[in-house]
Amino acid sequence: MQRQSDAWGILISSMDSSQNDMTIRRGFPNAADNGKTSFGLNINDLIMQNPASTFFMKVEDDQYQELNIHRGDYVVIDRSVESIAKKIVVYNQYGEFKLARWEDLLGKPAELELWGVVTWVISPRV
Amino acid sequence: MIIHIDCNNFFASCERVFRPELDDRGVAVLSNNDGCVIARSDEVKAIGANMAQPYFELRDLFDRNQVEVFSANFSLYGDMSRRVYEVLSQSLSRVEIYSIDEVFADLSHQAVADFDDLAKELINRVYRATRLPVSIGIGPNKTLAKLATHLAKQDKLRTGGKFIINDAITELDNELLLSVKINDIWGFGRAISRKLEANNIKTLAQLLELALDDNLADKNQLGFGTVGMRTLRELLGEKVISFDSNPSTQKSMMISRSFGKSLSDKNQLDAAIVNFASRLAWNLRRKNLLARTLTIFASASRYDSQNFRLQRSQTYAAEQLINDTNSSAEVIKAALKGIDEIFDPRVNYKRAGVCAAKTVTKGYGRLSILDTRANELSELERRDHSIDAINKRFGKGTVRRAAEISSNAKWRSSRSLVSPKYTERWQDIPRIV
Repeated sequence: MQRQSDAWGILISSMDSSQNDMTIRRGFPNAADNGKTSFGLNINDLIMQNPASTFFMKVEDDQYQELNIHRGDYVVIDRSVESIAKKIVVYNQYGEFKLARWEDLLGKPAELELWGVVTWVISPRV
Repeated sequence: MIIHIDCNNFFASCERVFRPELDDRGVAVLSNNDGCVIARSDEVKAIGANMAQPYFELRDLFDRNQVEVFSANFSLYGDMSRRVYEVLSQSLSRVEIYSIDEVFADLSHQAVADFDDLAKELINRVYRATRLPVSIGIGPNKTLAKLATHLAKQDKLRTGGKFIINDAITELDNELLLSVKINDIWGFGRAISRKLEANNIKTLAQLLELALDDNLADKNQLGFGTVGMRTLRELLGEKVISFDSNPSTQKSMMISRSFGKSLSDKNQLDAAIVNFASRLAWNLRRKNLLARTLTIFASASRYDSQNFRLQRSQTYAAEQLINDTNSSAEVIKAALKGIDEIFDPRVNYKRAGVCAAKTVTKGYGRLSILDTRANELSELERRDHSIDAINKRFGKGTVRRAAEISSNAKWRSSRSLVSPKYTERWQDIPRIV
Protein backbone atom coordinates (compact mmCIF):
# COMPACT_ATOMS: atom_id res chain seq x y z
CA MET A 1 0.00 0.00 0.00
CA GLN A 2 1.46 3.33 -1.00
CA ARG A 3 0.96 6.32 1.18
CA GLN A 4 1.54 9.92 0.37
CA SER A 5 1.36 12.79 2.84
CA ASP A 6 1.55 16.47 2.24
CA ALA A 7 3.52 18.92 4.33
CA TRP A 8 0.91 18.92 7.05
CA GLY A 9 1.25 15.21 7.57
CA ILE A 10 -2.31 14.58 6.49
CA LEU A 11 -2.73 11.43 4.49
CA ILE A 12 -3.82 12.74 1.13
CA SER A 13 -4.27 9.59 -0.81
CA SER A 14 -4.07 5.94 -0.28
CA MET A 15 -3.55 3.78 -3.29
CA ASP A 16 -4.78 0.47 -2.18
CA SER A 17 -4.21 -1.81 -5.11
CA SER A 18 -6.79 -4.26 -3.94
CA GLN A 19 -9.46 -1.60 -4.27
CA ASN A 20 -8.43 0.39 -7.30
CA ASP A 21 -10.86 3.20 -6.69
CA MET A 22 -10.69 6.94 -6.50
CA THR A 23 -11.75 7.69 -2.94
CA ILE A 24 -9.51 10.05 -1.09
CA ARG A 25 -9.01 9.31 2.56
CA ARG A 26 -8.00 11.73 5.23
CA GLY A 27 -6.95 11.19 8.78
CA PHE A 28 -6.74 7.86 10.51
CA PRO A 29 -9.65 5.47 10.64
CA ASN A 30 -10.83 5.35 14.22
CA ALA A 31 -13.66 4.36 16.47
CA ALA A 32 -15.33 7.78 16.21
CA ASP A 33 -16.10 7.17 12.54
CA ASN A 34 -18.82 4.69 13.25
CA GLY A 35 -19.50 3.96 9.59
CA LYS A 36 -19.92 7.59 8.56
CA THR A 37 -19.38 8.27 4.90
CA SER A 38 -19.27 12.05 4.99
CA PHE A 39 -17.31 14.04 7.44
CA GLY A 40 -17.20 17.59 8.66
CA LEU A 41 -19.86 20.19 8.36
CA ASN A 42 -22.36 20.45 5.55
CA ILE A 43 -23.45 24.01 4.91
CA ASN A 44 -26.82 22.81 3.62
CA ASP A 45 -27.75 21.82 7.15
CA LEU A 46 -27.19 25.39 8.20
CA ILE A 47 -28.93 27.32 5.48
CA MET A 48 -31.68 25.04 4.29
CA GLN A 49 -34.62 24.83 6.60
CA ASN A 50 -36.90 23.59 3.87
CA PRO A 51 -34.96 22.34 0.84
CA ALA A 52 -38.10 21.98 -1.28
CA SER A 53 -38.77 25.72 -1.10
CA THR A 54 -35.17 26.96 -1.04
CA PHE A 55 -33.60 28.61 -4.06
CA PHE A 56 -30.41 30.53 -4.79
CA MET A 57 -30.05 33.80 -6.67
CA LYS A 58 -27.12 36.02 -7.50
CA VAL A 59 -27.08 39.77 -6.99
CA GLU A 60 -25.84 41.72 -9.97
CA ASP A 61 -26.68 45.27 -9.03
CA ASP A 62 -25.20 47.86 -6.67
CA GLN A 63 -28.42 49.46 -5.53
CA TYR A 64 -28.88 47.34 -2.42
CA GLN A 65 -26.05 48.80 -0.29
CA GLU A 66 -28.57 50.06 2.21
CA LEU A 67 -29.69 46.48 2.78
CA ASN A 68 -26.04 45.55 3.16
CA ILE A 69 -26.27 43.36 0.08
CA HIS A 70 -23.69 43.87 -2.64
CA ARG A 71 -23.07 42.93 -6.21
CA GLY A 72 -21.57 39.45 -6.36
CA ASP A 73 -23.42 38.26 -3.27
CA TYR A 74 -25.51 35.14 -3.36
CA VAL A 75 -28.85 35.13 -1.61
CA VAL A 76 -30.68 32.14 -0.25
CA ILE A 77 -34.40 32.44 -0.82
CA ASP A 78 -37.04 30.50 1.02
CA ARG A 79 -40.56 30.66 -0.36
CA SER A 80 -42.11 29.05 2.66
CA VAL A 81 -41.12 31.52 5.38
CA GLU A 82 -44.31 32.51 7.16
CA SER A 83 -43.62 35.87 8.76
CA ILE A 84 -42.34 38.49 6.37
CA ALA A 85 -42.52 41.53 8.61
CA LYS A 86 -39.26 43.46 8.47
CA LYS A 87 -37.68 40.82 6.22
CA ILE A 88 -35.86 41.39 2.96
CA VAL A 89 -37.87 39.87 0.16
CA VAL A 90 -37.25 39.06 -3.48
CA TYR A 91 -39.99 40.04 -5.87
CA ASN A 92 -40.49 39.97 -9.60
CA GLN A 93 -41.57 43.01 -11.56
CA TYR A 94 -41.81 43.14 -15.34
CA GLY A 95 -39.69 40.04 -15.65
CA GLU A 96 -36.90 41.11 -13.28
CA PHE A 97 -36.05 39.86 -9.84
CA LYS A 98 -35.41 42.60 -7.29
CA LEU A 99 -34.92 42.98 -3.55
CA ALA A 100 -36.64 45.21 -1.04
CA ARG A 101 -37.71 45.37 2.57
CA TRP A 102 -41.23 44.07 2.77
CA GLU A 103 -42.46 47.31 4.33
CA ASP A 104 -41.11 49.33 1.41
CA LEU A 105 -43.08 47.24 -1.04
CA LEU A 106 -46.41 47.93 0.55
CA GLY A 107 -46.58 51.40 -0.92
CA LYS A 108 -45.61 50.37 -4.44
CA PRO A 109 -47.99 50.08 -7.36
CA ALA A 110 -49.28 46.64 -8.24
CA GLU A 111 -47.77 44.55 -11.08
CA LEU A 112 -45.28 42.87 -8.87
CA GLU A 113 -45.15 39.38 -7.45
CA LEU A 114 -43.69 38.53 -4.10
CA TRP A 115 -41.40 35.61 -4.83
CA GLY A 116 -39.67 34.69 -1.58
CA VAL A 117 -37.86 35.75 1.58
CA VAL A 118 -34.11 36.23 1.81
CA THR A 119 -32.91 34.01 4.63
CA TRP A 120 -29.14 34.15 4.09
CA VAL A 121 -26.71 36.29 2.19
CA ILE A 122 -23.47 34.65 1.13
CA SER A 123 -20.93 37.34 0.51
CA PRO A 124 -17.48 36.53 -0.88
CA ARG A 125 -14.54 38.24 0.75
CA VAL A 126 -11.74 37.16 -1.52
CA MET B 1 -59.65 6.97 0.01
CA ILE B 2 -56.96 7.57 -2.56
CA ILE B 3 -55.66 11.02 -3.40
CA HIS B 4 -54.18 11.90 -6.79
CA ILE B 5 -52.11 15.05 -7.25
CA ASP B 6 -51.27 16.24 -10.73
CA CYS B 7 -49.28 19.32 -11.74
CA ASN B 8 -51.06 21.49 -14.29
CA ASN B 9 -49.23 21.67 -17.62
CA PHE B 10 -46.12 20.65 -15.74
CA PHE B 11 -43.23 21.54 -18.06
CA ALA B 12 -44.86 24.81 -19.09
CA SER B 13 -45.54 25.68 -15.46
CA CYS B 14 -41.93 24.93 -14.53
CA GLU B 15 -40.77 27.45 -17.12
CA ARG B 16 -43.00 30.07 -15.53
CA VAL B 17 -41.55 29.64 -12.06
CA PHE B 18 -38.54 31.79 -12.88
CA ARG B 19 -40.35 33.81 -15.52
CA PRO B 20 -43.51 34.90 -13.69
CA GLU B 21 -44.16 37.54 -16.35
CA LEU B 22 -45.16 34.64 -18.64
CA ASP B 23 -48.21 33.84 -16.53
CA ASP B 24 -50.57 35.58 -18.91
CA ARG B 25 -48.89 34.48 -22.11
CA GLY B 26 -48.96 31.12 -23.83
CA VAL B 27 -46.01 28.85 -23.02
CA ALA B 28 -45.08 25.77 -25.05
CA VAL B 29 -42.28 23.26 -24.54
CA LEU B 30 -40.69 21.27 -27.35
CA SER B 31 -39.21 17.79 -27.42
CA ASN B 32 -35.60 16.93 -28.26
CA ASN B 33 -34.47 18.64 -31.43
CA ASP B 34 -37.29 21.08 -30.96
CA GLY B 35 -39.36 18.59 -32.88
CA CYS B 36 -42.80 18.61 -31.40
CA VAL B 37 -44.85 20.10 -28.63
CA ILE B 38 -44.70 18.16 -25.39
CA ALA B 39 -46.28 20.70 -23.10
CA ARG B 40 -48.78 23.50 -23.54
CA SER B 41 -50.11 26.09 -21.16
CA ASP B 42 -53.88 26.61 -21.18
CA GLU B 43 -53.53 29.55 -23.58
CA VAL B 44 -51.70 27.38 -26.09
CA LYS B 45 -54.34 24.66 -25.82
CA ALA B 46 -56.97 27.31 -26.45
CA ILE B 47 -55.46 28.45 -29.74
CA GLY B 48 -55.59 24.92 -31.08
CA ALA B 49 -52.10 23.49 -30.73
CA ASN B 50 -52.23 19.75 -30.11
CA MET B 51 -50.00 17.59 -28.00
CA ALA B 52 -47.16 16.06 -30.05
CA GLN B 53 -47.86 18.35 -32.95
CA PRO B 54 -44.67 19.16 -34.92
CA TYR B 55 -43.25 22.59 -34.14
CA PHE B 56 -42.78 23.56 -37.77
CA GLU B 57 -46.55 23.33 -38.20
CA LEU B 58 -47.17 25.67 -35.29
CA ARG B 59 -44.46 28.27 -35.65
CA ASP B 60 -46.66 30.87 -37.31
CA LEU B 61 -49.54 30.32 -34.93
CA PHE B 62 -47.20 30.75 -31.98
CA ASP B 63 -45.62 33.89 -33.41
CA ARG B 64 -48.99 35.48 -34.01
CA ASN B 65 -50.10 34.73 -30.47
CA GLN B 66 -46.88 35.70 -28.72
CA VAL B 67 -46.40 32.22 -27.34
CA GLU B 68 -43.10 31.78 -25.54
CA VAL B 69 -41.49 28.58 -26.77
CA PHE B 70 -38.88 26.57 -24.88
CA SER B 71 -36.76 23.53 -25.63
CA ALA B 72 -37.23 20.90 -22.96
CA ASN B 73 -35.17 21.46 -19.84
CA PHE B 74 -35.43 18.10 -18.13
CA SER B 75 -32.87 19.04 -15.54
CA LEU B 76 -35.17 21.79 -14.31
CA TYR B 77 -38.31 19.67 -14.50
CA GLY B 78 -36.69 16.83 -12.59
CA ASP B 79 -35.64 19.14 -9.80
CA MET B 80 -39.03 20.83 -9.54
CA SER B 81 -40.69 17.42 -9.50
CA ARG B 82 -38.49 16.43 -6.58
CA ARG B 83 -39.57 19.55 -4.72
CA VAL B 84 -43.26 18.88 -5.24
CA TYR B 85 -42.79 15.34 -3.98
CA GLU B 86 -40.96 16.63 -0.88
CA VAL B 87 -43.69 19.11 -0.04
CA LEU B 88 -46.39 16.47 -0.40
CA SER B 89 -44.43 14.00 1.69
CA GLN B 90 -44.52 16.46 4.56
CA SER B 91 -48.29 15.97 4.80
CA LEU B 92 -48.92 12.58 3.26
CA SER B 93 -47.48 9.29 4.26
CA ARG B 94 -46.55 6.70 1.61
CA VAL B 95 -46.61 8.87 -1.46
CA GLU B 96 -46.36 6.80 -4.61
CA ILE B 97 -44.71 8.52 -7.54
CA TYR B 98 -46.67 7.73 -10.68
CA SER B 99 -44.85 9.97 -13.14
CA ILE B 100 -42.75 13.10 -13.20
CA ASP B 101 -45.77 15.22 -12.38
CA GLU B 102 -48.27 12.89 -10.72
CA VAL B 103 -48.44 11.12 -7.40
CA PHE B 104 -50.92 8.95 -5.56
CA ALA B 105 -51.23 8.57 -1.81
CA ASP B 106 -53.38 6.31 0.30
CA LEU B 107 -55.30 8.36 2.81
CA SER B 108 -56.54 5.40 4.80
CA HIS B 109 -53.32 5.38 6.74
CA GLN B 110 -53.82 8.79 8.20
CA ALA B 111 -56.57 10.65 9.95
CA VAL B 112 -58.19 13.13 7.59
CA ALA B 113 -60.81 15.41 9.01
CA ASP B 114 -62.03 16.93 5.78
CA PHE B 115 -60.93 15.93 2.29
CA ASP B 116 -61.81 19.25 0.78
CA ASP B 117 -59.73 21.12 3.35
CA LEU B 118 -56.84 18.73 2.80
CA ALA B 119 -56.93 19.27 -0.94
CA LYS B 120 -57.04 23.03 -0.54
CA GLU B 121 -54.16 22.98 1.90
CA LEU B 122 -52.00 20.81 -0.34
CA ILE B 123 -52.63 23.00 -3.38
CA ASN B 124 -51.61 26.05 -1.38
CA ARG B 125 -48.54 24.46 0.15
CA VAL B 126 -47.23 23.19 -3.18
CA TYR B 127 -47.78 26.56 -4.84
CA ARG B 128 -46.21 28.40 -1.95
CA ALA B 129 -43.08 26.29 -1.95
CA THR B 130 -42.60 25.79 -5.69
CA ARG B 131 -44.92 28.17 -7.55
CA LEU B 132 -46.41 25.18 -9.34
CA PRO B 133 -50.17 24.87 -9.68
CA VAL B 134 -51.55 21.40 -9.05
CA SER B 135 -54.95 19.78 -9.30
CA ILE B 136 -56.20 17.21 -6.85
CA GLY B 137 -58.65 14.33 -7.16
CA ILE B 138 -59.85 12.15 -4.32
CA GLY B 139 -61.76 8.91 -4.71
CA PRO B 140 -62.21 5.43 -3.27
CA ASN B 141 -59.70 3.97 -5.74
CA LYS B 142 -57.00 5.07 -8.15
CA THR B 143 -59.20 5.18 -11.25
CA LEU B 144 -61.78 7.38 -9.56
CA ALA B 145 -59.12 9.58 -7.97
CA LYS B 146 -57.60 10.17 -11.39
CA LEU B 147 -61.01 10.79 -12.91
CA ALA B 148 -61.66 13.29 -10.13
CA THR B 149 -58.46 15.13 -11.00
CA HIS B 150 -59.57 15.25 -14.61
CA LEU B 151 -62.87 16.79 -13.53
CA ALA B 152 -61.03 19.22 -11.29
CA LYS B 153 -58.90 20.43 -14.19
CA GLN B 154 -61.76 20.60 -16.64
CA ASP B 155 -63.37 23.54 -14.92
CA LYS B 156 -60.76 25.03 -12.60
CA LEU B 157 -62.74 28.18 -11.92
CA ARG B 158 -65.64 26.19 -10.55
CA THR B 159 -63.75 23.40 -8.81
CA GLY B 160 -60.87 25.42 -7.39
CA GLY B 161 -58.56 22.74 -8.77
CA LYS B 162 -59.98 19.92 -6.64
CA PHE B 163 -62.71 17.31 -6.92
CA ILE B 164 -63.91 14.53 -4.68
CA ILE B 165 -65.77 11.40 -5.76
CA ASN B 166 -67.19 9.68 -2.71
CA ASP B 167 -68.36 6.31 -4.03
CA ALA B 168 -68.56 5.87 -7.79
CA ILE B 169 -69.44 7.57 -11.07
CA THR B 170 -73.10 6.94 -10.29
CA GLU B 171 -73.11 9.99 -8.04
CA LEU B 172 -71.95 12.37 -10.78
CA ASP B 173 -74.55 14.49 -12.52
CA ASN B 174 -75.34 13.88 -16.16
CA GLU B 175 -73.70 17.05 -17.41
CA LEU B 176 -70.39 15.94 -15.93
CA LEU B 177 -70.75 12.40 -17.26
CA LEU B 178 -71.35 13.71 -20.76
CA SER B 179 -68.26 15.88 -20.59
CA VAL B 180 -65.88 12.95 -20.11
CA LYS B 181 -64.87 11.11 -23.26
CA ILE B 182 -63.94 7.44 -23.04
CA ASN B 183 -60.40 8.26 -24.11
CA ASP B 184 -60.04 10.63 -21.16
CA ILE B 185 -60.43 7.83 -18.68
CA TRP B 186 -57.28 6.31 -17.25
CA GLY B 187 -57.32 2.64 -18.16
CA PHE B 188 -59.13 3.03 -21.47
CA GLY B 189 -56.69 3.35 -24.31
CA ARG B 190 -57.17 4.08 -27.96
CA ALA B 191 -58.13 0.52 -28.87
CA ILE B 192 -60.95 0.24 -26.38
CA SER B 193 -62.11 3.78 -27.09
CA ARG B 194 -62.46 2.96 -30.78
CA LYS B 195 -64.34 -0.27 -30.10
CA LEU B 196 -66.74 1.48 -27.76
CA GLU B 197 -67.23 4.37 -30.13
CA ALA B 198 -68.14 1.89 -32.83
CA ASN B 199 -70.86 0.72 -30.47
CA ASN B 200 -71.98 4.30 -29.94
CA ILE B 201 -70.45 4.64 -26.49
CA LYS B 202 -68.53 7.89 -26.57
CA THR B 203 -68.88 9.40 -23.14
CA LEU B 204 -68.90 8.29 -19.54
CA ALA B 205 -72.66 8.84 -19.50
CA GLN B 206 -73.21 6.19 -22.15
CA LEU B 207 -70.73 3.86 -20.51
CA LEU B 208 -72.59 4.10 -17.24
CA GLU B 209 -75.88 3.35 -18.98
CA LEU B 210 -74.32 0.25 -20.45
CA ALA B 211 -72.84 -0.83 -17.15
CA LEU B 212 -76.14 -0.51 -15.33
CA ASP B 213 -78.26 -2.20 -17.98
CA ASP B 214 -76.70 -5.60 -18.53
CA ASN B 215 -74.81 -8.15 -16.54
CA LEU B 216 -71.20 -7.27 -16.00
CA ALA B 217 -70.06 -10.50 -17.64
CA ASP B 218 -71.44 -9.51 -21.05
CA LYS B 219 -69.19 -6.49 -21.22
CA ASN B 220 -66.37 -8.75 -22.30
CA GLN B 221 -67.97 -9.00 -25.72
CA LEU B 222 -67.23 -5.35 -26.25
CA GLY B 223 -63.55 -6.16 -26.02
CA PHE B 224 -62.73 -4.60 -22.69
CA GLY B 225 -59.87 -6.91 -21.88
CA THR B 226 -58.35 -7.30 -18.42
CA VAL B 227 -57.33 -3.70 -17.97
CA GLY B 228 -60.59 -2.41 -19.37
CA MET B 229 -62.67 -4.58 -17.06
CA ARG B 230 -60.58 -3.54 -14.11
CA THR B 231 -61.14 0.10 -14.98
CA LEU B 232 -64.87 -0.40 -15.39
CA ARG B 233 -65.16 -2.09 -12.02
CA GLU B 234 -63.19 0.70 -10.41
CA LEU B 235 -65.41 3.30 -12.01
CA LEU B 236 -68.31 1.55 -10.34
CA GLY B 237 -66.68 1.84 -6.94
CA GLU B 238 -64.70 -1.36 -6.47
CA LYS B 239 -61.12 -1.12 -5.30
CA VAL B 240 -59.26 -3.39 -7.73
CA ILE B 241 -55.90 -1.75 -8.45
CA SER B 242 -53.64 -2.25 -5.49
CA PHE B 243 -51.72 0.50 -3.89
CA ASP B 244 -48.22 -0.17 -5.00
CA SER B 245 -45.82 1.09 -2.41
CA ASN B 246 -43.18 -1.23 -3.80
CA PRO B 247 -43.44 -0.97 -7.57
CA SER B 248 -42.11 -3.95 -9.49
CA THR B 249 -38.67 -3.78 -11.00
CA GLN B 250 -38.18 -2.15 -14.32
CA LYS B 251 -38.17 -4.65 -17.18
CA SER B 252 -36.38 -2.61 -19.81
CA MET B 253 -34.53 0.62 -20.33
CA MET B 254 -33.83 2.53 -23.48
CA ILE B 255 -31.84 5.51 -24.59
CA SER B 256 -32.67 6.85 -28.00
CA ARG B 257 -32.35 10.22 -29.61
CA SER B 258 -33.06 11.83 -32.91
CA PHE B 259 -30.07 13.62 -34.39
CA GLY B 260 -29.66 17.34 -34.92
CA LYS B 261 -28.55 16.62 -38.48
CA SER B 262 -28.97 13.31 -40.29
CA LEU B 263 -25.85 11.20 -40.60
CA SER B 264 -24.63 8.67 -43.07
CA ASP B 265 -21.10 8.52 -41.75
CA LYS B 266 -20.42 5.33 -39.79
CA ASN B 267 -17.91 6.95 -37.42
CA GLN B 268 -20.38 9.57 -36.33
CA LEU B 269 -23.10 6.99 -35.91
CA ASP B 270 -20.69 4.88 -33.85
CA ALA B 271 -19.89 7.89 -31.66
CA ALA B 272 -23.56 8.44 -30.99
CA ILE B 273 -24.14 4.75 -30.24
CA VAL B 274 -21.18 4.63 -27.87
CA ASN B 275 -22.57 7.66 -26.05
CA PHE B 276 -26.01 6.08 -25.74
CA ALA B 277 -24.58 2.72 -24.71
CA SER B 278 -22.37 4.15 -21.99
CA ARG B 279 -25.21 6.27 -20.64
CA LEU B 280 -27.47 3.24 -20.68
CA ALA B 281 -24.89 1.22 -18.77
CA TRP B 282 -24.50 4.03 -16.25
CA ASN B 283 -28.28 4.21 -15.76
CA LEU B 284 -28.42 0.45 -15.28
CA ARG B 285 -25.71 0.64 -12.64
CA ARG B 286 -27.47 3.49 -10.90
CA LYS B 287 -30.63 1.45 -10.62
CA ASN B 288 -28.75 -1.70 -9.78
CA LEU B 289 -30.05 -3.53 -12.84
CA LEU B 290 -28.43 -5.92 -15.27
CA ALA B 291 -29.43 -6.34 -18.90
CA ARG B 292 -29.81 -9.65 -20.60
CA THR B 293 -30.40 -8.52 -24.19
CA LEU B 294 -29.50 -5.40 -26.01
CA THR B 295 -31.45 -4.13 -29.00
CA ILE B 296 -29.87 -1.56 -31.26
CA PHE B 297 -31.77 0.39 -33.87
CA ALA B 298 -31.09 3.19 -36.27
CA SER B 299 -33.61 4.69 -38.61
CA ALA B 300 -34.04 7.35 -41.21
CA SER B 301 -36.38 10.28 -40.83
CA ARG B 302 -39.94 9.13 -41.13
CA TYR B 303 -40.59 12.15 -43.33
CA ASP B 304 -38.00 10.98 -45.83
CA SER B 305 -39.91 8.20 -47.54
CA GLN B 306 -37.26 7.03 -49.97
CA ASN B 307 -34.68 6.63 -47.30
CA PHE B 308 -37.02 4.92 -44.96
CA ARG B 309 -37.85 2.15 -47.41
CA LEU B 310 -34.21 1.25 -47.81
CA GLN B 311 -33.59 0.21 -44.28
CA ARG B 312 -37.01 -1.03 -43.30
CA SER B 313 -36.03 -4.67 -43.10
CA GLN B 314 -32.86 -4.38 -41.16
CA THR B 315 -33.56 -1.75 -38.56
CA TYR B 316 -32.99 -3.83 -35.49
CA ALA B 317 -30.19 -5.96 -34.18
CA ALA B 318 -30.64 -7.89 -31.00
CA GLU B 319 -27.54 -8.90 -29.19
CA GLN B 320 -27.65 -11.55 -26.52
CA LEU B 321 -25.20 -10.59 -23.87
CA ILE B 322 -23.14 -13.47 -22.56
CA ASN B 323 -23.78 -12.45 -19.03
CA ASP B 324 -26.41 -10.31 -17.52
CA THR B 325 -24.38 -7.16 -17.34
CA ASN B 326 -24.31 -3.46 -16.71
CA SER B 327 -20.68 -2.94 -17.51
CA SER B 328 -20.04 -0.09 -19.93
CA ALA B 329 -17.40 -2.03 -21.82
CA GLU B 330 -19.69 -4.98 -22.51
CA VAL B 331 -22.72 -2.91 -23.39
CA ILE B 332 -20.69 -0.72 -25.72
CA LYS B 333 -19.10 -3.71 -27.38
CA ALA B 334 -22.48 -5.30 -28.02
CA ALA B 335 -23.95 -2.03 -29.25
CA LEU B 336 -21.18 -1.49 -31.77
CA LYS B 337 -21.54 -5.05 -32.99
CA GLY B 338 -25.24 -4.40 -33.49
CA ILE B 339 -24.66 -1.22 -35.45
CA ASP B 340 -22.15 -3.01 -37.65
CA GLU B 341 -24.84 -5.51 -38.54
CA ILE B 342 -27.49 -3.03 -39.54
CA PHE B 343 -25.53 -0.10 -40.95
CA ASP B 344 -26.24 0.79 -44.56
CA PRO B 345 -24.12 3.58 -46.06
CA ARG B 346 -26.93 4.59 -48.41
CA VAL B 347 -29.18 5.66 -45.57
CA ASN B 348 -29.35 9.10 -43.93
CA TYR B 349 -29.91 8.21 -40.31
CA LYS B 350 -32.01 10.55 -38.26
CA ARG B 351 -32.47 8.55 -35.10
CA ALA B 352 -30.79 5.74 -33.21
CA GLY B 353 -31.10 4.03 -29.91
CA VAL B 354 -29.93 1.34 -27.57
CA CYS B 355 -32.39 -0.65 -25.52
CA ALA B 356 -31.68 -3.03 -22.67
CA ALA B 357 -34.37 -5.68 -22.42
CA LYS B 358 -35.05 -8.28 -19.79
CA THR B 359 -33.40 -6.32 -17.07
CA VAL B 360 -32.98 -8.02 -13.73
CA THR B 361 -31.92 -6.75 -10.36
CA LYS B 362 -28.28 -7.27 -9.66
CA GLY B 363 -27.84 -10.30 -7.49
CA TYR B 364 -30.43 -12.24 -9.40
CA GLY B 365 -28.65 -12.37 -12.75
CA ARG B 366 -27.00 -15.37 -14.23
CA LEU B 367 -23.42 -15.92 -14.91
CA SER B 368 -22.92 -18.15 -17.89
CA ILE B 369 -20.86 -21.27 -17.28
CA LEU B 370 -19.27 -20.54 -20.63
CA ASP B 371 -17.89 -17.34 -19.22
CA THR B 372 -14.49 -17.82 -17.67
CA ARG B 373 -13.83 -14.15 -17.24
CA ALA B 374 -14.90 -13.77 -13.61
CA ASN B 375 -11.78 -11.79 -12.72
CA GLU B 376 -12.00 -9.60 -15.75
CA LEU B 377 -15.61 -8.80 -14.90
CA SER B 378 -14.88 -7.47 -11.46
CA GLU B 379 -12.00 -5.50 -12.97
CA LEU B 380 -14.52 -3.98 -15.38
CA GLU B 381 -16.80 -3.28 -12.46
CA ARG B 382 -14.11 -1.42 -10.60
CA ARG B 383 -13.20 0.62 -13.61
CA ASP B 384 -16.84 1.55 -14.17
CA HIS B 385 -17.14 2.44 -10.51
CA SER B 386 -14.14 4.78 -10.70
CA ILE B 387 -15.35 6.46 -13.83
CA ASP B 388 -18.84 6.85 -12.38
CA ALA B 389 -17.36 8.45 -9.27
CA ILE B 390 -15.40 10.99 -11.29
CA ASN B 391 -18.33 11.82 -13.56
CA LYS B 392 -20.58 12.18 -10.55
CA ARG B 393 -18.22 14.61 -8.89
CA PHE B 394 -17.10 16.68 -11.86
CA GLY B 395 -20.06 16.33 -14.17
CA LYS B 396 -21.37 13.83 -16.68
CA GLY B 397 -19.04 13.40 -19.60
CA THR B 398 -15.85 14.35 -17.77
CA VAL B 399 -14.48 10.94 -18.56
CA ARG B 400 -15.67 9.37 -21.79
CA ARG B 401 -14.63 6.57 -24.05
CA ALA B 402 -12.37 7.70 -26.91
CA ALA B 403 -14.83 6.21 -29.40
CA GLU B 404 -17.47 8.64 -28.20
CA ILE B 405 -15.58 11.66 -29.31
CA SER B 406 -16.25 12.54 -32.89
CA SER B 407 -15.05 15.69 -34.56
CA ASN B 408 -18.17 17.76 -34.62
CA ALA B 409 -20.75 15.58 -32.87
CA LYS B 410 -23.37 16.20 -35.54
CA TRP B 411 -25.67 13.81 -33.78
CA ARG B 412 -26.22 15.99 -30.74
CA SER B 413 -29.71 17.41 -30.69
CA SER B 414 -30.31 21.07 -31.27
CA ARG B 415 -32.04 22.65 -28.30
CA SER B 416 -31.79 26.25 -29.13
CA LEU B 417 -34.53 27.55 -26.87
CA VAL B 418 -33.61 25.87 -23.62
CA SER B 419 -33.94 27.85 -20.41
CA PRO B 420 -31.14 28.00 -17.81
CA LYS B 421 -30.79 25.22 -15.26
CA TYR B 422 -31.93 27.61 -12.58
CA THR B 423 -31.72 25.08 -9.79
CA GLU B 424 -28.99 22.71 -10.91
CA ARG B 425 -26.12 24.85 -12.14
CA TRP B 426 -24.54 27.69 -10.19
CA GLN B 427 -23.84 29.60 -13.38
CA ASP B 428 -27.52 29.46 -14.25
CA ILE B 429 -29.20 30.67 -11.08
CA PRO B 430 -31.55 33.65 -11.45
CA ARG B 431 -30.07 37.12 -11.24
CA ILE B 432 -31.24 39.96 -9.07
CA VAL B 433 -30.89 43.27 -10.86
